[in-house]
Amino acid sequence: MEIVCRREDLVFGVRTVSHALGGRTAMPILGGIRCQGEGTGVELTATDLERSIRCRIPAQVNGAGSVVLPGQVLSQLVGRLPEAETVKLQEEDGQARLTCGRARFNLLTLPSDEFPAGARPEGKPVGNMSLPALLQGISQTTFAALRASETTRLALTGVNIVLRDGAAKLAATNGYRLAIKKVPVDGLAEDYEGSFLVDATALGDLSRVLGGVSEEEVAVYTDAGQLHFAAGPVFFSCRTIQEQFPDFERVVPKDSEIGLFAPRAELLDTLRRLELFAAEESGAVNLKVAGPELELAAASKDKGQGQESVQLLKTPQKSMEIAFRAEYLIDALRRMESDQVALWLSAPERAGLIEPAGEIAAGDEGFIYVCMPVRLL
Amino acid sequence: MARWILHVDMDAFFAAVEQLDQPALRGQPVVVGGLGPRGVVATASYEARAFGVHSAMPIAKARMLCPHATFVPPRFARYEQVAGQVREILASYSPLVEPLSLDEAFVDLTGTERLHGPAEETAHGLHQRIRAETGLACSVGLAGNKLLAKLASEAAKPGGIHVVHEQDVEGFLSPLPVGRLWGIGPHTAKVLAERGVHTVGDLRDVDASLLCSWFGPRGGAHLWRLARGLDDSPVVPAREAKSISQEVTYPEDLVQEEVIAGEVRQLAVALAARLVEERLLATTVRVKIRWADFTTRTRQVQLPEPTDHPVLIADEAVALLDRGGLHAESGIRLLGVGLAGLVPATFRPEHLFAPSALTDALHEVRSRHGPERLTLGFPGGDRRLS
Repeated sequence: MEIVCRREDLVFGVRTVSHALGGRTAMPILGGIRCQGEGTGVELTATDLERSIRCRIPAQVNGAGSVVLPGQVLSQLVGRLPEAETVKLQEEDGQARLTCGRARFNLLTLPSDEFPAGARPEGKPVGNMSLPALLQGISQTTFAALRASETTRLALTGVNIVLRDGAAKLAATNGYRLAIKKVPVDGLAEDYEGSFLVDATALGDLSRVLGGVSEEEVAVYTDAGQLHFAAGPVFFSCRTIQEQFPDFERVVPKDSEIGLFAPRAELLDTLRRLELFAAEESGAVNLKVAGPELELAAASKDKGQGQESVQLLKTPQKSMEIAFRAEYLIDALRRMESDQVALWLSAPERAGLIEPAGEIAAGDEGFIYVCMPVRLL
Repeated sequence: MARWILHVDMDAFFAAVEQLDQPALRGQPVVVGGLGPRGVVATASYEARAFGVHSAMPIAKARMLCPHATFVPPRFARYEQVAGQVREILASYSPLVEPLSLDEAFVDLTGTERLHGPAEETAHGLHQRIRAETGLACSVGLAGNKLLAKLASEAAKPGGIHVVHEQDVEGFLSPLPVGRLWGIGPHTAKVLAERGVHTVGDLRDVDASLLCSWFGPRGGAHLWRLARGLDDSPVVPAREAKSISQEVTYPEDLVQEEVIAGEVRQLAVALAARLVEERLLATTVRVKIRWADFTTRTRQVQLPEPTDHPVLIADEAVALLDRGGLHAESGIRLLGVGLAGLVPATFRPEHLFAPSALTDALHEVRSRHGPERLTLGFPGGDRRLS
């Protein structure tokens, strides 16, 4: 097999798939990038078994074939190739040679029959999403999930994606806060309903990969145990987590009486200042509503204390005092785009609900955030 | 307001517990310590001390000095249990209890007069209660600060009460060797001895500026204060342990996965209850597994928020068990659960899916009816093997 492609196409392809390179030494083959040449293109693939990324780049291919190259070396090498229009990759009897300008490299190869192929799903996508909307949805949910280091139970390390009623509802929680985002899906069959739990870090990788393509739309495919996203040259598959995601709809407050409408940027800045004074263990900032102002305060034994008030846009009907981990509020507010936010409260030990308010920015459509308070004893 | 600080020191604690549990040992010399060739004495009963045996002495030497003594290995779980009983008694007199070790604690009685009467009476009451409720003797020192209280309990040994009133401080301290003062180590004592300072009385007679020239301004000022029995360090109810744990060795190896998971849940729930009792939250959950061939593995995870919730802790513990590579078929002889990263429960992060009402209810029932009455219902959770 002999492949000739544009240098920048190879750089793009290798960079794209290397997000899925497995670092595990238990299966050395997962450290490889497969290059499969056929006709007018090469498909590059990498996988760590949790996710796999394929990227098709245009190329002239002589003699269809497949070779698995060491991913780490290849991804570093493409960033350092000399200036040249094209790159040539030749494969013969388990030997790979890469030529670029006056540089020539002989690369060791990995046994291509060991490469865990994973098939592309047959048939049509279940629907299409706008790429910017999907990226925003990922950005507004993945942060809320538990990190793998914080649990041994996988359910909360994932983002729950429910496809139905013309939308994908993404939800992620660490048990103390919950982010929900609805992204419209075109072409979803009326009776279709599917629920997929996908590792939050895999979705983070998806967002980095899709950030590099110029497409407007993403096609979504589903099959047993996997969710696939296709946009232009990129095809991203992630395995779903076979665990039960908690019934999150039931913890979304529906009857909160007290609505605090505040300028988002101002509230965010205030919280960022007060976070510095929050007690280390609880991270708590206290919110006190009485009249048209929201009084915020934080105090810790070793750092001192701070307080600040924010002028609310409407005077709430009732007064109330509640504390939240400042970080949790900041996490949500800084990922929103609208000028105003509403924080809905009902009782000091019950969940608060944050949603965009006023003139809702496009990027905030379908976003809500639930945050549990910290009770100070 | 005058401070009243009490220091309790359990007499020959480990040995006394052994004598309590095995009546045949009462009145006999008992040595608790590592029994191996390189073991040392942890505690010797007063009967053994009469033969010159003391703690930190090599066991081999103790056997030479007192060959007819009974030598027993330490049972820390039991000592911990008794110490907990003592701490509970102390806590009923004041919220400010600072355990120094299993057998020693400070109690700040300042301002408890209205509730419990004069401090001196409280000291007597507490002394008797410990005796009556644990069957063990303790020595109690009562004074205006921690420094003096500790010295007073030493003076009260064995089994007595010593009160140092303000007007007696000078007379009490003067004859004591300087090395007995808390914070004067062998090195400082040696430097002082070289300058003719042997007793606390000698030390008080040394001019402050001279002390500072010997030990620097900070060291000098510190010694000056010690010599006068001055100490304003607070009684800090901080825990001596940064973690709590519980483990069980089973009489027969466990082989059924659901039984093992049930046991781990039991341990986790019991520890969660202890957190509530001691007003602590934990951020780290650990699980320890020992197989029949003594291979031992521990796994731990750090939670996103500190918690005392029995379900959250138990779920993580069981999940850790799975990740620990639980090969039940090869037989498990020991299971342990530990909680670390403990912080005072001055706050409670509410959980979306695990309401804290459950924690409150669980604690309520357990504290009223005892820990055996209620545990969480899980498959296998009610099978107690030990």
